[in-house]
Amino acid sequence: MKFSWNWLSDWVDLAGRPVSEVANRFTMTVAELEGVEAVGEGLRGVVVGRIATVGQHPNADKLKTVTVDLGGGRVVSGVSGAPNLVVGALVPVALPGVMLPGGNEVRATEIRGVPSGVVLLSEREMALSDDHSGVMILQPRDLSRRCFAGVTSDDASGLPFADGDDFPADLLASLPGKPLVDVVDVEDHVFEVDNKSLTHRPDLWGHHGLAREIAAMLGLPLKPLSDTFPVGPDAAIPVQVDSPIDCPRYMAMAYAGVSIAVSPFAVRHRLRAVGLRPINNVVDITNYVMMAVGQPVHSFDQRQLTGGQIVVRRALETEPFRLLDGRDLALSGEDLVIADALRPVALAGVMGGENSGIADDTVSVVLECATFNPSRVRRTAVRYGVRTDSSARFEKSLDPNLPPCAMAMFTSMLSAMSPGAHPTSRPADFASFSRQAVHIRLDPAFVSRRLGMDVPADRTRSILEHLGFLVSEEGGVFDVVVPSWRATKDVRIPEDLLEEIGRVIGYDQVPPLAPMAAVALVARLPRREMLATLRPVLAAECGLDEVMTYSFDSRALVTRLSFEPPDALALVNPISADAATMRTDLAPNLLGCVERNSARFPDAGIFEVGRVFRATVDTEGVPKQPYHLGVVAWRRLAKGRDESEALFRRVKGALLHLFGRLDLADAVIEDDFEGERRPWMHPNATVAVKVGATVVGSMGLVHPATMQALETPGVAVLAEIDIEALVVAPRKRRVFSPVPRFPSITNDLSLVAADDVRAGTLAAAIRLGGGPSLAAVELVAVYSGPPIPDGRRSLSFRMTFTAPDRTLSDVEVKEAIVRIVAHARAAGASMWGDEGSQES
Amino acid sequence: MPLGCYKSAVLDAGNPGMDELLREALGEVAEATTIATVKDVEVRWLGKKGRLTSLLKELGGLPPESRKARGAELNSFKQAVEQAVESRRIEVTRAEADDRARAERIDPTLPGHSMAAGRLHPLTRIVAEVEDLFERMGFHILDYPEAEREYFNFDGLNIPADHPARDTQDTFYLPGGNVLRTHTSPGQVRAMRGLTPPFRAIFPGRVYRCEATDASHEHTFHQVEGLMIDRSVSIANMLSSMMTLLEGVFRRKVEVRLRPGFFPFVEPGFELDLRCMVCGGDGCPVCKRSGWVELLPCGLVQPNVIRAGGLDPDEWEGWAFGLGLSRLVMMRYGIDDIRWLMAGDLRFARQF
Repeated sequence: MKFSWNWLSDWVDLAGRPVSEVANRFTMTVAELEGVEAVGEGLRGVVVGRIATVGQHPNADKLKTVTVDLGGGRVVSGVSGAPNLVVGALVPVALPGVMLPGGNEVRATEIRGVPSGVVLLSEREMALSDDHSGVMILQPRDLSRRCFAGVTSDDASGLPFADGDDFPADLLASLPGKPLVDVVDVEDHVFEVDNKSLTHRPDLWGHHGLAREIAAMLGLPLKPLSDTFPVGPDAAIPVQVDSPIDCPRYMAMAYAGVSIAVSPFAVRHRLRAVGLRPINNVVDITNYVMMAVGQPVHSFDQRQLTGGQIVVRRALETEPFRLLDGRDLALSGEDLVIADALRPVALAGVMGGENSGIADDTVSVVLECATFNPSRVRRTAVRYGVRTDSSARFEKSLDPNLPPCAMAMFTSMLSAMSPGAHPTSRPADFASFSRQAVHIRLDPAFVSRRLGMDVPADRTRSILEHLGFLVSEEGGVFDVVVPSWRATKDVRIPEDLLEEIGRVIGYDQVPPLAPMAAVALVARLPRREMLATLRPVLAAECGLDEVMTYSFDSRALVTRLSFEPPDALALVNPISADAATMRTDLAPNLLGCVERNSARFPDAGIFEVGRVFRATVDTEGVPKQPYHLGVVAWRRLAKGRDESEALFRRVKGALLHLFGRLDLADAVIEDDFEGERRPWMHPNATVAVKVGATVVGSMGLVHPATMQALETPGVAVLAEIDIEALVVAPRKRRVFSPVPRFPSITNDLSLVAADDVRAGTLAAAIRLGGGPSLAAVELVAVYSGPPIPDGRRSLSFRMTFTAPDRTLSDVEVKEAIVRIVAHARAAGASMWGDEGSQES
Repeated sequence: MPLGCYKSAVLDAGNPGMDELLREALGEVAEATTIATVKDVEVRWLGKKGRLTSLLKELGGLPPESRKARGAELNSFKQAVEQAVESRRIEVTRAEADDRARAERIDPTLPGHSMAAGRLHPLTRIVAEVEDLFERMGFHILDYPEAEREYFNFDGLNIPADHPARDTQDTFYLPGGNVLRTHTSPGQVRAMRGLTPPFRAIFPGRVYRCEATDASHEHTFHQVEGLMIDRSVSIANMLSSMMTLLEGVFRRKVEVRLRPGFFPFVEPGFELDLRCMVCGGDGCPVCKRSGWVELLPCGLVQPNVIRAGGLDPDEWEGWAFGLGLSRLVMMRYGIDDIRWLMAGDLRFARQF
């Protein structure tokens, strides 16, 4: 929301205050200002002139020669093409040498043979609006209050203008020659505050409320709004309000003799400064009143109100309604409408209808000043996506005491801006709201204690009183009465008052004080402890880079992966059709990373730790969302079994190392995976990741079809682990085992076996044959190629023999090896060198 | 070589002939310049067929009265030569190693081998830092659902249905009365329900807003929420705690200011600004020339929120804050586009 310095000045005297200082105070005590913008700059050289004569240009039909009186007997002459030149009019002019906004310098010239020593300016030439239809003609209403020294206007708008068409004679004589900026408030400063910062302050959505806040902040008096106005002779328009909950207050009054016209510059200038587009005098006044009072008002063309009555009711289901902006709606029974005898004429608090708006030929007007239920207005505005300045205010819970003030200002401005317009009826006033004040008991000691600094009781009292609260004391405790404009929901409890006092004192006065707290051991969440170990181990020790990806699945990606996520949690309002469901697995987004990175990083491994989501909910109704660990490593362009196995061993080694560092007992990664298969899982190279008897995840080569879909030539190995299962998996205690006292003997054994004989099978055979003296078996080399025949490969194992109580003899070891070889043969292996006999 | 002491010992034995002999032996030791020649000298004098050995053999032929003195004399001689040999051997060994070292060369400008270690995501690093900081101050580190009950995200935080504040957070809605949490604040109510007061806790994690992304906006980002619940909690306490936090995070003295900020779940509510660390407060593009950078919202916990947490607001009070971790990471590492954080791009990941 934008607000204007000049506008504020209607109610609080800011003369002599630096703008930046007031802006800073506002930020520190009310809400952050997003910015301060200077308006109407660069017009210091423009002066007011009075058109003395207008004549026809001798050489051009469309041009006029003019003389302009600049006061003090000084008259200049020039040429102008403006169609609206009138003798006697006060106009802004620029003499040669003056710089105009936009950087144009006025020069003395000759136009079609006639010298021109003055330029009569349009609003656009002064960058005040885009109006270039003619020269700007000043009207009495445009004059700044500085022109009326000592005169106080009793106009409800606060503007010091004179009624009627004519300038007072003394002003007419004294204005020519004066700088424009001294006569008209073209120069202004516009403050902008984020609407979100004012969500809780219904009283700050108009200039008067802001002026009240600034007056309190600066300790200055505030000029009150008027709530009295002249009324007409006729009976009030009949108003029927179906539900006082929906509409606690509804005022309406009729006016006649209206003529629709362009608003005076001063009104348009203010509206434009705060971001509103001037339309015509009546509509401009309603907007002006809203921005001044903070109370949205609406004007109907009285001709369009069938039956001359107003009904505030719920809409019928699917009742058709066309908004002022032309949009057609089918209303809901939840919407509140303003209707005449037949049909809705406005969507209450949101926008008027096309059927009843002000037209160019409108002569009689009905003004609505009402208070609507904030939730109802808000829901309707959200339902149709029609967020207006009006709905933004109503949904904040407006003070029901504002409508008379708004009506007073409208009435006063209408009669001034449309001479002859006048109220024809008495005001209708349906009012059904509590006028009972909100009281809060406040112990001054509470303020000091919770602020953390000593605040004398009388300071508390004076701050509150400045802000409009009424304070009385009984037994050292304050009874605080909340003013109506803060009482709709903003201020209810002592903490709310604490804020009022704190912000006026200034929080920079509060000395930081460390809290006193009990010393107690804090328990750690097991999962957090696990994650705190897991991440650094995978990165620093296993050489994997950590990534984070979105919690959404990409529709395009999972489709390419031929994956239809089961039990997927769908978003009601996704940010895009592509990101419409929550991820069920980490794998798809990690595979997406493979696709994006593999060209630049042909050989790499990454991991992610994060939640995956299920549509299934827990007992609390919360979707299941376990933490998963995903690991993927890839080698671009890799082919052949050797490279696949090497990559597989890299990831398997990382996981086993991790499980070891997590003290998980009995991790095994080699049994075929028998769970629910994903499309990226390789048919015969996917294994279960087991901790003890529990399957905690899967790991395997990525299916060639997936690699193809990812347009990544080469191989990838993917693992996905359920961290929740790891958290509850059994841990092993680290126990010291005595260092062997007797030397061990190592022996290497190379076995040759068919390709499909697994190393694990042979290692198991070796262990079986080795008996208790075989302390360790380690695969040290795998080889295929000459001289090993096709279809077979060589696997070399290193065996370590030891005994706890003696040095093993050569004979014992030899016997063990004989047994081992026998078992290995039984498992399908032959020895190096006896290939021939095996083959035969 | 400390010849003097051996010499005097021998001379004291009163035999001028031994003196000459010792001089000769020590002279040979001193002339040996390799391990092998030192060994030769040792054998020549002290070996089985060495000159000293032959002198010792003559002892048996001496009359008993002179045998003892002669024995002592030869023993002193032996010790002196042994010591000289040993010292010389050390010297020569060292000299030979020095020679080898002088011949040895490497190229120290060859680049160091890069370790195969992977990198942690910068958010992980910051979270770990913040968690460590708070754990040192006795805070629980908690973790709550990202897909959350609407109640905990809004109603329990004093944001009832139709409250305009719901607009300020573009919410992703899920079926069944759930949302993707728009902030980490739901943890406030959950923490109060789950822990026994007094306590203090933080809860970091992912949060979601349904809004378009650009260099400074993401629909997915990270926050950490902090909560302290005790019998009496003041703004001064909160301010002190926030300064401790920020000094811990930025590892330097910080200057902060509180200004009013509206959040329905705190009363009073604040925006805490940090004196701009780029310009020191003089005004620069980072702080939009204000000298201050808006850093974190905080405030005293609203009594309705304490009630929603199952506690009696007449008995328990608290402060709470929320800190944008994504933004903190960007400040720390000078990351210019928030979308890097969730991009899964190794060009980014490998920089940390």
